[in-house]
Amino acid sequence: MTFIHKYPKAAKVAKANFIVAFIALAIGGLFGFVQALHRTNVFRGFFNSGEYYTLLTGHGVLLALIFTTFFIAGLFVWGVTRSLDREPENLTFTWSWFWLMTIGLVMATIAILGGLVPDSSIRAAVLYTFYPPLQAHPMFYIGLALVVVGSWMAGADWFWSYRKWRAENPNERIPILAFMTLFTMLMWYVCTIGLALEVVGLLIPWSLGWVTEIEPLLPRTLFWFFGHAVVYFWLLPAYYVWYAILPKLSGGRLFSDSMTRIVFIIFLLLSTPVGYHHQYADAGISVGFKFYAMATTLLILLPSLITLFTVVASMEHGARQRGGKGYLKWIGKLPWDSPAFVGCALAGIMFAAGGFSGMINASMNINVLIHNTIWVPGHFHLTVGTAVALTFMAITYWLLPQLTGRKLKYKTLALIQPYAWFLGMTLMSNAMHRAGLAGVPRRTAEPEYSGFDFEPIFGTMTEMKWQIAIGGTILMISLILFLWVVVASWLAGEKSDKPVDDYIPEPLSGVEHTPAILDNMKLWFGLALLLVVLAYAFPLWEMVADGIFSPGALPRPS
Amino acid sequence: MSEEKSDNSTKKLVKILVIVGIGVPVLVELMTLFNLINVQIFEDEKDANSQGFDVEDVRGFGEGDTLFSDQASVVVIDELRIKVSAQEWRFALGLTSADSSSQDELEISVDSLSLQSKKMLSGDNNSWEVKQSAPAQVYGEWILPNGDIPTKLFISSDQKTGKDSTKKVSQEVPLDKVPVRYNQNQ
Ligand code: HEM
Ligand SMILES: [Cu+2]
Repeated sequence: MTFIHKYPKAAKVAKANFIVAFIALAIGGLFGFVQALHRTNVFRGFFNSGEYYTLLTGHGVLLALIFTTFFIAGLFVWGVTRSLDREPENLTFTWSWFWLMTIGLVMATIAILGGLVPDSSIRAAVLYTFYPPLQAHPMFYIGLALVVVGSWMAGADWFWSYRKWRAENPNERIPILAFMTLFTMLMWYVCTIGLALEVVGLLIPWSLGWVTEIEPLLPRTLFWFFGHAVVYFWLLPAYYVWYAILPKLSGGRLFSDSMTRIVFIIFLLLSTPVGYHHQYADAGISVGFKFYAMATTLLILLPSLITLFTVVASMEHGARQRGGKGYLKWIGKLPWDSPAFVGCALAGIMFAAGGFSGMINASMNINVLIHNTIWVPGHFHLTVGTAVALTFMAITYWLLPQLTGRKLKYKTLALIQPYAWFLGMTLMSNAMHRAGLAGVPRRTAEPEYSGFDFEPIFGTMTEMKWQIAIGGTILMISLILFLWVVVASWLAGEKSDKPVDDYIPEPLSGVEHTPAILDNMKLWFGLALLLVVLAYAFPLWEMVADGIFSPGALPRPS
Repeated sequence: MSEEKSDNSTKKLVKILVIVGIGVPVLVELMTLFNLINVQIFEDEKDANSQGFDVEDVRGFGEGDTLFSDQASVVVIDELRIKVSAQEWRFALGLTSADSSSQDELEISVDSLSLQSKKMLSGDNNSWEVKQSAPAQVYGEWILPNGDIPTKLFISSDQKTGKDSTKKVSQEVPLDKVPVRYNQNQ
């Protein structure tokens, strides 16, 4: 018996979400490959530079917004169902959020791809950070709004299951998988307030022509209200995998239940108030608020360091269970031949590297050095592009058999895949970081300035370009391997009653050692809202006080 | 028996994967670290910077540069870029007389364009749009093959040599990297 046999309905929902996620991954990944070759001038035959923004928007939206959201929805359906031991409460409701999100995604995608059709008036080359002055067709904004509303309903679905479960189990602690899901969604509810206000209140009326003037700072600020927390919305599901599943894959068990809960609570509290750290270069935000954002951003390193400790400790425990010895020798005893383990472990290592460049981004003064350079894509391909994406791919090797009742096919290819991703990403990201230090801008098909040659600190520009192109190519190969293994296993994997070992052992330090207050959702949600109000109320008020649609307002606070 | 064999081949594969998949990345990062420290501590920054060749020497023409600078009527390039819309790829050139008091028309023509793809494009099918007359300012556009970029222009101008005599002077204008700009309004 595995998941699909126990919960056939939930399995179907999770699979539907995964199908959408993987299609988005395939198209978005292809765009990334094309961009990498185009902007390095290695091969430019696919399209002309005028279409670059369209492709870049497709890449960012399909991967960072669509692939992640749908995969997370599938993962959470699996986790909530399994840990609360109940199928979704009402399937009509469950399928309606899935279809709402899908319709929204299709609308947004059509709007983006319209940019590749000659003379089309439907276009959305506004990048995945969609604030003015770039304007998209209304269909793009409306589609994204539907995706967000659908995701709210999905969250409501999981809270619904939880309430029903709670009614039947009044004295039990929230199971850890459900806990992580619910706290991630609480954070999502807090941060999407900003996005909803931006899209529904400003962008849709503006793109429909109902209002013609818009203050640029307000939608930017509302976007970044959402824009940092969204990175934790991607990351927390990866943490969920690292905390709940990776210890098992390494042969052990989770180190500490209470640490896990504390980490998720800190993220709920701090994810949103740090949004200004994306606006260090915005003249309209006062330096005091930027400083506040910097301080909270550095604080939010703490839960990631706790995660590093807890996850590595769990892995070490696993390795010692498998006979590992010594200070470091146990590392060799980890299952380096298991694709799911290798993917998660390498993703975790890359995340640590991403943390280092993240500290530089977060520091207000040093940020100036790398702001809007290709360093920034170099950074987030380590975080969302690997820590999140590679974890999702790797855990698919373990989840897919549970959801389809079929064994994984082509295990050798599946094993090569995460190593290839790690290699390709190191090459691409390393060169992006270095090129960024030399001042090479991000988001352009033509990264040269006229009459100016970049001066790299060391190495040459040509060498960096090739490193980016070769890295991108290896990533593309890795992605094809992943998709091939998934499609082949899904369609033709050997059917089995127990296609994978899906047992998750109890934590070493279990829930009995966890203070009850950690499960108090109302308390933490209330605190999170309070912190957001403290951070945002005053600047936002200053921005709207002289009229929401009046551009050219004075710097804040004036 | 065959179990054992496949076990061994997996072990070998894992070894190769770890060496290539983790070893190479570690090496790349170590080299980066070494180079960064090396440059910061042991190399004089001036040395590091002067290794590159002198930018001015090889620079081609761009916006703001002057043409026919040794002639009577000097011309300034005030616009030089690729304009792109969804499916069109055009080269745009705007020229202004450097002598702002002059009332004369700009007698200048682009004879041909040499492109990155090594193609030559004849320039004569173009007629200037006169933007203003004092100082004389003209503007022209050429449709290019998609993605192609001009590397050199052949321009000639009628220059006064005496009171009523003019002579045709030609200049080869090697271009710097031409900026590509997206035209949202088209
Ligand atoms: C096949 C693997 C990938 C390759 C070759 C690739 C390549 C690239 C390149 C070259 C850029 C920079 C373009 C520029 O600034 O001009 C970029 C941007 C970006 N990539 Fe990737 N990428 C890959 C995978 C991913 C993944 C898995 C994610 C996220 C899940 C991701 C998210 C992004 C985002 C959000 C941007 C920024 C878009 C923007 O600036 O608006 N990429 N990618
Ligand atoms: Cu951020």
